[in-house]
Amino acid sequence: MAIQSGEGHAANWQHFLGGSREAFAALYASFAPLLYNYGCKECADRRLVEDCIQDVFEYLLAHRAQLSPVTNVKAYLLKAYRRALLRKISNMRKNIPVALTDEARFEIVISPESHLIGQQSSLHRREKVAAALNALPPRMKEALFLRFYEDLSFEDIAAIMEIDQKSVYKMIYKAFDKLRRQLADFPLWALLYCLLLKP
Amino acid sequence: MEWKDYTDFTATDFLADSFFMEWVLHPDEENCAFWEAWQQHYPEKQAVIAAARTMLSSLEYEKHQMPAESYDRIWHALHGKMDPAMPETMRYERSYHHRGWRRAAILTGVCGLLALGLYWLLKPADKRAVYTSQFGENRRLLLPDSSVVILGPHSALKATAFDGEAKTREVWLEGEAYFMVKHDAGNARPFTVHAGDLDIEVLGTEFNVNNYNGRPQVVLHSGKVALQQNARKAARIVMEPGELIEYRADNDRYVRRKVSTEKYVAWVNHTLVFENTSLKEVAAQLHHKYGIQVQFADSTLLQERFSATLKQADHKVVLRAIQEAFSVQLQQQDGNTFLISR
Repeated sequence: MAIQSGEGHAANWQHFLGGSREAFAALYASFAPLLYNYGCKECADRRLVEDCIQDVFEYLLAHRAQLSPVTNVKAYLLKAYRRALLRKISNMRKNIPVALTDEARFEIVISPESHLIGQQSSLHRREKVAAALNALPPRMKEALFLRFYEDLSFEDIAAIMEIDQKSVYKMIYKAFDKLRRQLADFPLWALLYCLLLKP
Repeated sequence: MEWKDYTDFTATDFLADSFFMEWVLHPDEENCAFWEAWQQHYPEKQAVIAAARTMLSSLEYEKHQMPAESYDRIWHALHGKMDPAMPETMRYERSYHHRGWRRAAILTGVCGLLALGLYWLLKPADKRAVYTSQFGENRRLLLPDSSVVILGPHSALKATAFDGEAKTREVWLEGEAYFMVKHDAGNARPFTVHAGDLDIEVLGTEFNVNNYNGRPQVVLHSGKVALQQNARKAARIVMEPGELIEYRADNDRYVRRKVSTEKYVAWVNHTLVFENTSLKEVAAQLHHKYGIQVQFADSTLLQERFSATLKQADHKVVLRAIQEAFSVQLQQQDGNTFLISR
């Protein structure tokens, strides 16, 4: 699939508001997999994750006339999706317990590729960093994910997570401060080694 | 970029900085130039930068791939909810693709404008789901009745809702597809493939339909299908396994012959089979499936015959094979145009 720029998505959004099925199809193709990935990090119940994707896109179809132009479609959809998902989870929790990812939410992993390319020393350090990050509260990890994986601004993250911007900044800063302390005991040569290794 | 004094930055400060993050996650010429120069200028800061980079590159997440069945199922469901005022458009346009629709439109015109008006008034909302594939891509679709369709490159399939009340299962094909149709108990809901001028009535079976060039071609692998020209519902032709039938609209004739079906369905496994195929035809196929233009400097090349079975093939593999087989020169003119010359 072609990588689409933010402006491309905003243009598709605009065309969709004008009634283009083609643009709607493009939005679905770009964002259904993204929401799925995000949803799986939030909740372990795949059925729920998928139902909410359908709900969000159905909402768009049903309210096309009332929707307004947005500049960051990704942030808009993530916000709508997160709301739908959390609402559904809390509704279900009243009745039956839902399999939530809870502690494993927004888990940081060491990919198999880094096992292959990583030198033993660098891999060990990364594992240590990942362990330190995974010990953080899930909300903090979610903010990190949105910032560094989905490439969203502090402002967008604040809107998605429904907290103020200052808290987002604080969460991310705190996460990295913890990391810095974790890394402080590494010798200088190891850090330089890592610099040379990473492209 | 706003100017910042980075000299007092700690590793944590760097990590909170957008410009720094951009460099680590999306390096480009501009940010690389800046950060390399900056480190040269402040060599004592290299360790801090390295530490910050390690932290950033440690942020890896497991990717949850959306299952294709879920992707299609939701897409199918969304189609039923689409506002009929939203005009149906394909994700791509190919002029000859729409010849069939255009012909239908002319025919309707002959029947009179009144009929057309009535048709539009009474036409139910188009709730067909549309599946499309990109150039060079095969897609496996699972239809709601559990029939499986492998959609060839740059093709489109529209399907009616196959839900509980539906009396029929109907799909419309542009491009190429291999069908594995689920037999319906007691044949309660017939399955029909519309390909250009041809209607293919399926009686539970496996077959390939190629409708790239407006000349629908059906190859029956197993089971039974019946073909009918869709404007003139006259002759109904029943096909036997191992047969190929091609319909030519220009002279309204069917061409029928026995074939080895494997050759026609090899594309499902990304294998391309050419048997004594003219280079002109090869070029046409590459155009349909991969969106490329192949030009020949010398028109005698067009009639050259090419035979090959190419596994895991794409247009590059085919062009390289042609280059070797005929000892010709291959030049890439621009992104999508290739020139073959002696």
